[in-house]
Amino acid sequence: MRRIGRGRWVDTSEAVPFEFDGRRLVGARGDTVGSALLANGVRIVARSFKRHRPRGIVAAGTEESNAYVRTQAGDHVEANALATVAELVPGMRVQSLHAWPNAAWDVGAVAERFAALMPAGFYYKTFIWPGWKLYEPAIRRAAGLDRVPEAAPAYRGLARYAHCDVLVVGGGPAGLAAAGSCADAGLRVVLVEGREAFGGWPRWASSPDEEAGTQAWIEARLGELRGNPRVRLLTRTLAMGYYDHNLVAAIETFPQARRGGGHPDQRLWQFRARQVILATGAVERPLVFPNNDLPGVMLASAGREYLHGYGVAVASRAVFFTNNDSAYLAAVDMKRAGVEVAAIVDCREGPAPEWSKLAAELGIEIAAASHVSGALGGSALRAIEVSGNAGGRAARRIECDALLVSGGWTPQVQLHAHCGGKLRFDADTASFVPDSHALGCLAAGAINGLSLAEAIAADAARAASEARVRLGGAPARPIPALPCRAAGSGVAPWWSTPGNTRKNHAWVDLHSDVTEADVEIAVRENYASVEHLKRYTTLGMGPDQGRTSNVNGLALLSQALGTPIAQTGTTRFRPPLVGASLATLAASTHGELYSPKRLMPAHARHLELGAHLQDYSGWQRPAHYARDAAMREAAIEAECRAVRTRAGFFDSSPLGKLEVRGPDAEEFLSRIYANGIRSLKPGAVRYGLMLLESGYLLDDGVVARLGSEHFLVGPSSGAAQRVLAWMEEWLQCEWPRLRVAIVDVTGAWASFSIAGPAARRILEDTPTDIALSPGEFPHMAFREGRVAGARARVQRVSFSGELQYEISVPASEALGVMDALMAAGRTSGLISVGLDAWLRLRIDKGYLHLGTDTDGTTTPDDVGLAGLYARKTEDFIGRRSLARPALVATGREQLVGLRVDTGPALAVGACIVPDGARRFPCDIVGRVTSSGHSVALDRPVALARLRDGRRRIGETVGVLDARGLRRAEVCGSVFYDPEGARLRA
Amino acid sequence: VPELLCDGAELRVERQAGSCKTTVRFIGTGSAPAALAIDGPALPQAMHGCGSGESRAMRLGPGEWLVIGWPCPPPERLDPALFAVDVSDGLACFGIRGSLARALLAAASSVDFDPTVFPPATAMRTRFARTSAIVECVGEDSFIVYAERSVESYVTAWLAEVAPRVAAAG
Repeated sequence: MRRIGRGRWVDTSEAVPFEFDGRRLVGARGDTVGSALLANGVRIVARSFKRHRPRGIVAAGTEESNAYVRTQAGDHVEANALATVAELVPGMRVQSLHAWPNAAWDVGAVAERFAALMPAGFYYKTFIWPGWKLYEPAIRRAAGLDRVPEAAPAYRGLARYAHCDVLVVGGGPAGLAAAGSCADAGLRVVLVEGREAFGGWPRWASSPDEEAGTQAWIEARLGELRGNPRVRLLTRTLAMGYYDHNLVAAIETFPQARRGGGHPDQRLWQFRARQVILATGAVERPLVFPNNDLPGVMLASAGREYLHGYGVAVASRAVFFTNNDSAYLAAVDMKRAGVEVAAIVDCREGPAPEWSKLAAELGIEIAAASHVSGALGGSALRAIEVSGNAGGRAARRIECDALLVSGGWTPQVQLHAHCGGKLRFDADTASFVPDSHALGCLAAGAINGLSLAEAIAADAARAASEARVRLGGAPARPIPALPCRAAGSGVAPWWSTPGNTRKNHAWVDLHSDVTEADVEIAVRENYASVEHLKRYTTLGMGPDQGRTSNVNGLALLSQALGTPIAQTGTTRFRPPLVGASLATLAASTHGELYSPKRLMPAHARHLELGAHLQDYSGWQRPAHYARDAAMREAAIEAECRAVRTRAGFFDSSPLGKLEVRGPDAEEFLSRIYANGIRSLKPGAVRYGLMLLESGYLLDDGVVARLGSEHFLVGPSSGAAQRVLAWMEEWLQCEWPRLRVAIVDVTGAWASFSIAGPAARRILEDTPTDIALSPGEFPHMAFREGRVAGARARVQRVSFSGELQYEISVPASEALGVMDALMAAGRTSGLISVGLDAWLRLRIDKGYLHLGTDTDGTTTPDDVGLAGLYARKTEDFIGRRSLARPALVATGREQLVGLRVDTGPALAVGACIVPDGARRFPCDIVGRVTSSGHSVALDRPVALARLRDGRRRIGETVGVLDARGLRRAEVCGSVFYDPEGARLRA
Repeated sequence: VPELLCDGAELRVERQAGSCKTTVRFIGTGSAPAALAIDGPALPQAMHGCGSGESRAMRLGPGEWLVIGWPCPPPERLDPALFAVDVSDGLACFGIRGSLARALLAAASSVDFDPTVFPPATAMRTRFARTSAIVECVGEDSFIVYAERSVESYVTAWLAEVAPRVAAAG
């Protein structure tokens, strides 16, 4: 292997130093890692997945099965990079995978000695006793691909959505022609190509005398597309999945990322196309014979691509083994480039006459009606054995360092099949080609089994015409054919070596180490379905997705079953077709950007006050104001004590604020709320319940009447968006005739609660024009005015059980108002209170916290709130369901209090058991839902849902948790100020 | 205070100072009034339609508009069939300009931002990154994104991280 001349895509005058497994090598500008390794004579680039066999490069594109490596350029590390695709950059360090210490000398190669013990499915049978978990770590270490880089990944991915009329996947001759034709009709076209340039196979398959004409044809097609603002051309972009509604995902790779500087490395595209045309081409198939995995056995097309594209001769002395004519093109080009071609072994009776003549002219021997019966060599190919198809004669040995094989061409139909595309077996090409498609996807070119330039041009025109007509345009004009010679199919299926006694060394799937013997074992063990074969042997399950192995595997299965291939069928192809890093898929959705954190308007001030923030329904809220976790409980108690004895400041901004207005607003809310709304006077506030149609609780909160047709609905913080959507759904879908509008103003207002005996004095000490005396501003009233210079909406409501004002001001004025309130409260001992204390204070009063004291099957009666709608005569959502027998039956869990006089607070979630029960199992009659130490009562208080709870008040029950059994007395849920004198002060 | 998040030749992103914003809902039957008030900005009737100039309204949904640059009128100055609420404090604004502005938006939202589909004087409420926002096209390559105030910090961080990548990748 060596660089023997000018490559079409490389600049050999510019040396590119790099390392492979610690060896310093030099490539050329334009090389891939694969071509550079070949140019340096590196034959072993990897070890096989299971048996650690030495492996070389077999292909020149994404169909490569062996050459997965790790590349590192600067701080950019790419795991499982495909050497045949990864572009070489100066200083790149390339490391082989799955080998120690390196691919050339691998300790793991000892596994090959035990190959006979490791047939398909061996680990299903072998590692049963004493348990799979015992063996799993070692097996996982020994198998697999690259490890995730240990350094934190640099998230340099991007995501991008794009829409178009026509998406053409594949920038070869058919794709270029189809895209140009669609663009000509004024359609928005996106053309994606996986390689670094458009043109496809003619770029490397054109002989030197065809090169100029071919390039001119490609440029002419590109000329139809470039400069058209309605056309987007993307190279280095591999489509990875085709989904419903013509959504196609693709990964674009930026080679600049490997040069450092923080450039994005990949971009995930999500194309939404009205029409998709797949021009994904075909890849050459290998042939199955003993030792066909030795480094030096390569696809004939790859040898030709390395020759023309990179100026690399993959052999000094080559032999070709083929069942079709296309290998002759490669043999001729290699011979003309100065490579010795020892023979072409053709398993047919002979090629088309033109190839026989050309071979004779060049002095290339054709061994017709023969086959390669074995490859010879230890760590790399040294010779082959050739046998006649008819048998009889002894095998002939031919020395060579490369065997270039061609078993026909496999259309790349995976994307077609991802989403509703049917396939049919085409006997002419011995491959599966696209048939019908549920989404109307079109296919053009080699994917349809075509190989001649004229046929491809005509097929591209047909696909473009169909796309144009479907999108309302006129049929396309004929497209000139590419002036590049291609061999016709002429394929004679050749699936296995006759009389092969070493089927355990005849590889079908190089990546997953699946041999001909494995396929036969699977069939013997009755894994006769193609899907079972895939899973039992892992055939086609590697990252190459069986591009080169699929058809050979199906054919061998068919042979073993004695059924035609068409009847055997294919496995289902699923995305992703190409590998994508998780970092690329995550794109910008990582770390702090993984999920938006909603911040309150006074967020900065809470941080200054030392708040410990926690996520509550997406909001970052102060849980408490302790400096460290050890002080948490003390801080909560201090905050509770301040509210009970002086005053506390609580930021309640996330509470929902929905303005409801319109002539029918009262009617609307009367239907939405279980309790009465019509009697609510302007300036008054009422606690209300919303129910689901099932009668279960949806949310609770307060509603204020701002005017005759104007209400302010206050859902709980965590349910604000759900309640808004719920109300809009009823309004838009069920009651569209109601003249009502709902506007969510939650984010526009900051809300602060001042709670405690000193609350009124603090508010009086803050500049305000709102009369605050109990007579003028009683409990459950609403007032508008100004507070600390800001427009304010103030409600006298209480969740703490103390005198409390909830002051809402425009969010932009939150900091100023908060500062003014805190300053006014300084002499009264006002301190900030977090949500932990706030939720504990409400336990004293037995105030409900939805989601904590309730679940999805709790009714108002379960929590003792049936009285809210007892006298309501009108209908409301959920009313009918409340009368269902199951909802009024005895035995329902009801909210009660639990009284224990000493000891720590009961554990939330603890089971309530009948008095006398000492351990599980026993009847569980309820659970503790809320619990904490009451500062006001100086003892634990708890709320619980208890079966028939209200009937049990006065009884003693057991409370069982991990710490043991305690006894508690069932009591009413209101522990503190049952008359409500403090909050009405 | 305006804050520059990306300052490139092809992409400029900044957090903008806010102006008046009013949500307007139609609560009548039949046709909605043509304007917010006698001298107020016109209320576009076409879905996703948007006015131009300092004071303008964008139609976000059936009977729903967002009015920019015009103070929320008191109810007595308003057509009785309209309900207007001042939401100035509820929305944060981000200006996105440059030939890559549409590319940046397409990284955040699945809306088709092609100039033929999303021309100037178009506005739409859409998913934006992992939150929701209103995107208004105010010029050929000039947009304003309105995000809820509570997620302003998230949107700021997202734009600050993604905009330079879009500027680099094109």
